[in-house]
Amino acid sequence: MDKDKHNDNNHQKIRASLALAAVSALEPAAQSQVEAHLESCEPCRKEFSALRGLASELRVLPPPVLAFGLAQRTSARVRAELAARSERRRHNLVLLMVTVFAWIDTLIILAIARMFGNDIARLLHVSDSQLTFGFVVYWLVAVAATVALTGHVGRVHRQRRLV
Amino acid sequence: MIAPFFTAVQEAPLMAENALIRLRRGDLEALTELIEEHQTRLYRFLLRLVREPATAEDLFQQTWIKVMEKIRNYDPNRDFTPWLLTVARNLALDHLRRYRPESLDEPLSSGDSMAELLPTTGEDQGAALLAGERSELLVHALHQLPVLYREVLTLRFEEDLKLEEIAVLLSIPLSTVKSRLRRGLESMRKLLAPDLQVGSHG
Repeated sequence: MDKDKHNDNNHQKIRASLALAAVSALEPAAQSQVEAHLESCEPCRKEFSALRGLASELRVLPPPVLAFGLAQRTSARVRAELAARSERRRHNLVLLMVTVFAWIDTLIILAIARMFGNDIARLLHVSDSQLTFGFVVYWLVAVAATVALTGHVGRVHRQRRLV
Repeated sequence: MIAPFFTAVQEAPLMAENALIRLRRGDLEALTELIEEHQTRLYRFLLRLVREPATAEDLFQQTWIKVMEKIRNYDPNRDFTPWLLTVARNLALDHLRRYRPESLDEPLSSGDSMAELLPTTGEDQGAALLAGERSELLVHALHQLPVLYREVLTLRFEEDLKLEEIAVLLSIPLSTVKSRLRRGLESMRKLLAPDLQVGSHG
């Protein structure tokens, strides 16, 4: 009775490792144990053989048919993508330079206004408040130009991405 | 007579290495060489993961774009193919997560069987069946499996990678690779022949 139970347990254990045994993925000792069991167990031998056959068939499955010109299309897409990224980087660099220039320009104008504001106002025959107004308008135009340029570059990027 | 053969064998990996080095330097001609060299394996792997040719082709192209992004991080002392397949796998899994999240943990639908579709291997019928038909049915059965089993089966049997290499590629323990391999084979076996349930010993 105990012997039968032991044999059945052993059978179930071996059966759970048949798939790995069929592809020689077990440790040598376990592999030998399975092989010894197969000598005396016809159902396991059949299952082992079927699993081994399945593995062999998977090894020789024909590769899928490649779409015509896949390598060339891929190469062209990669080149296009790299070119687009390079252009985006150049755009961003230009934008950064414009922004930095605008800020430097603003700070210089502000410094000039503070140091020589009165002289300039006298030279141009305008009052201090008119001169301040002029500087503020100049600054707003610079900000508006930067924002417009940023928007334009963003639109160009979006359009290219959609294409 | 034999010398040209040995020269060709010795030069083959050298050429691939050169293509990689040139690619790292930004030579796009080398890219075309590498794509042509790896296209069958890469496309097959992606097709097994996503199962749709159009999606596999799109991911194939995205993989090479990613390769160009990451090529400077690639260690040329390592084998290129597993690295390439890892890049492709990450993109494929991202795609599945985004568009077909259910496919990542899809269970095998109980009762579904390929048995009626598959040719039997009996003597009278087996000879009449074309090997191509059998292959199609095997691929169809393979595509019924969850992606985690599919990828291990295709890497082991179609790409002929060692279990240790698969573990590195998938970033999982070797025991998990073995477990998925076992379950994958058993599931396929059940799909192909559900009636072949073996009873207890004796």
